[in-house]
Amino acid sequence: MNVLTYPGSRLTRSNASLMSGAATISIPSALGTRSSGTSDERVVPQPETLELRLFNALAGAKIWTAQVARHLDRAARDRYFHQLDVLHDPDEWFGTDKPVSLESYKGFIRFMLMLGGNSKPALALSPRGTLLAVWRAQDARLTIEFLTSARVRWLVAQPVGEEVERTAGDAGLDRLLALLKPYSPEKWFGST
Amino acid sequence: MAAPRGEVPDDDHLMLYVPAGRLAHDVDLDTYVLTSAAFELREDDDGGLSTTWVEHYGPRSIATYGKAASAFRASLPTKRIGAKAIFAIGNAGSARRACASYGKNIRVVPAPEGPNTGHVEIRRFSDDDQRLLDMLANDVFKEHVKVAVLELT
Repeated sequence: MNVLTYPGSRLTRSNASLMSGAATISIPSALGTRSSGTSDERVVPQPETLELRLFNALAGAKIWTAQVARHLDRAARDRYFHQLDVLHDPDEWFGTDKPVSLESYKGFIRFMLMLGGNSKPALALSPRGTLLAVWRAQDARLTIEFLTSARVRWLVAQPVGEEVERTAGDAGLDRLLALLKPYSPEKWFGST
Repeated sequence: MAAPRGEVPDDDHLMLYVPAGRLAHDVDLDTYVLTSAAFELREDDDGGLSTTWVEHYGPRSIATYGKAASAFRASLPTKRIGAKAIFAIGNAGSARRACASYGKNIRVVPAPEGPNTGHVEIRRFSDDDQRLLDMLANDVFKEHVKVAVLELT
């Protein structure tokens, strides 16, 4: 069995197969390999290079997703993985920005599972590694920042006459849908 | 409201570097949205929000954006900016007015940083109000130019 070992986790061919197609974990070449006797084990060196930091964050998110995969349809999962890959391109990485926090990502997935349906938010990362999801419908925008797996900041911006009305708040994830109800969130989420 | 002495004039413009990861990507439409994340302070933004003064490098044009972007890049320890990143450009007076509408009396102060002699810090700025950050992203820093189209020297 081929085994990839990296700090804090272990990815085998059996669970790696959960991440096929567009949703693979690609191993940065900078990580190097080591042969161990007759086994095909590869060990990632410890120094925390940028590539390793990004790899660890992405792998953590993807492995956790594999654990909850039965709740997600494959197209949605592949889409989230692709979005994460785009956000963590090492060639585009800047300064001291942090890769995605697993807790923030869990909050995002929890919320998408709560929504059900097929809404497809755009995703961004804050410098602190929290995930922001943006929904747009005509000129009305909803932005949700997943601070942790259970807490969010949200912002609704929508035109009212010549003005743009902005409302923001922070809340527990479980309360978010109730708080958004006055803004007719179905325009962003479809029917939930 | 006129710019205080020693600050960037209201009619002039500021360029903000936005790495690709801070843009909200719609992977289906291959488009992006500038979000509040672009205006969140980084660990090393100890003097304020870091921007570059466009008119310091010449009249506003794509060529001047290229000069300003080159100076910004040269001031970075890595000397690297991402090809998929953008510069968001906004008017200094509009930035002042937007911040004032949320009770923040910002200072838009030239603060040369190595080769980036047009470096500007937006001081007395904090990123705690999502409404202000959204206003900056959508109503002030409305002009975007992709790094990939700039001529960098």
